[in-house]
Amino acid sequence: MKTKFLSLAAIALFFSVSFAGCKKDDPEPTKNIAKLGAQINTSFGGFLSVSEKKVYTQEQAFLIQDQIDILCFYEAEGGNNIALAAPGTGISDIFIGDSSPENWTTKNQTYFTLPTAEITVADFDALKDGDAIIETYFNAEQTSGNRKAKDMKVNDIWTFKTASSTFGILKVTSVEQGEAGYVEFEYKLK
Amino acid sequence: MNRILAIFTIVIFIVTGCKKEEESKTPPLINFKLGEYTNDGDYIPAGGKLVFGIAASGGGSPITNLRVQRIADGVTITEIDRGLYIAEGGLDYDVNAVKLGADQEIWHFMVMNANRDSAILTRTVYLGEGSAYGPIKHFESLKIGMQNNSEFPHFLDVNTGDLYTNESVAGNEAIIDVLGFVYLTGGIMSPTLSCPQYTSVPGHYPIVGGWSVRNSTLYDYNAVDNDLVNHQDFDNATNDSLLVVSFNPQSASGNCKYCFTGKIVPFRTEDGKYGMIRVIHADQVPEGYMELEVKVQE
Repeated sequence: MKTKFLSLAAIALFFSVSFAGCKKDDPEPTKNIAKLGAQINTSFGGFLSVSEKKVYTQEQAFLIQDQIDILCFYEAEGGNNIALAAPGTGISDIFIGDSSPENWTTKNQTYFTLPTAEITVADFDALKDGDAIIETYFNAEQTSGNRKAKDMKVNDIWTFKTASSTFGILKVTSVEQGEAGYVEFEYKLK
Repeated sequence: MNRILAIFTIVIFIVTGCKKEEESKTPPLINFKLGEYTNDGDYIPAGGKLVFGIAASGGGSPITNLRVQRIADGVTITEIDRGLYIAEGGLDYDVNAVKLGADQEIWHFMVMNANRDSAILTRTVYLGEGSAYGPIKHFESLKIGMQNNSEFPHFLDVNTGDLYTNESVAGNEAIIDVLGFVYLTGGIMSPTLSCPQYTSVPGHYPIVGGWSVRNSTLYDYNAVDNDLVNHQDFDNATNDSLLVVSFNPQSASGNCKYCFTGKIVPFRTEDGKYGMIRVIHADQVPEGYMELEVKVQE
């Protein structure tokens, strides 16, 4: 009887330690992830509103042009491949239809640069939304070649500044090349 | 046998039941801000303004220390060594200083996080031709009350010479640089100059403890203790040259005791302005007051 009791006590202790004994860590902060499809991708929208942190299709984006900061397109020519740009970049003959960014009346210009200082993937992962240092990685002195971020590859790190002066830094997490391809990235904002 | 097995099971689960997650050991990140700042390799004349903009992230851990050192022709001067606790938003800081007469100054900016990992940046600045010492403001007589004085205001903005009472300081806390009190130290009642950020100040002025912005003014106590600035030089100072060279950050504190009548106190404000205070009068009772003559960079 005594042995049975001890065995039961051991089992009870096992479950209590397993389920309640460990101190819970604080919840992980929510990551900003965007998966943008290229011009004929039908699975993912290709237009990102940084302020809303939401992705829209071309037709949806047409209706909220002033909120769209970043778009994805594919173009093999010039080595663009899967690239990020902005409505104001002047991408032409890529998107089709009346809602094509060429026909927009409000075309926000987001600028893209490589970071001003070396930053590793681990460094990026340790950054938090709102960190003051994010702004310093954007190269404000670069005045050309900064209207798109081209040929994106996994673990590439880019910075950007939206028309409303929101600074961001992004890390590419997944890419599929082609007109039906996509780019997925995590971004952090200041 | 079953009993042994049961006890063994208990011990095993107590020891291994909680898996401790590995802590992030990413070092801090530090970077220069872009804009109207001093660049690497700049030539700046003696007295010229140096401004370094830095931003830092703790690398997943809180930032706990900022240290800024100037190596002027091989001599290391610690300009800032400040304990911090910045868990969110990182550090965004402008370092204001003045070029000394050294041919070469190497500036190091170091941040440390709670894991005691650190990151450092460096700027080198060279001595330019001529000098760029700037104009100063002169306030001939400012009277501040000690902690129990009800006749004079207690709080001073050295940039304007404006004085504030416990009531009128509301809304102006962020511009207060200097205050005074008396306390017993070393066996004597010491007239003391201090600043809102100094730890013991709320003990003398409880309202300061509730301020959201508490500026740090650093006083060169060594210059005070050893009378390193003479009165004639103070009288003759018409630009900020003497103000800059008289302040030694190596012997600076936010609290300067023994500010007796006749003492001259070099200081530097939170926003990097150098100045000197001549104590015209200092009482040694909490109901007393100090009369100050101030010269400060414009």
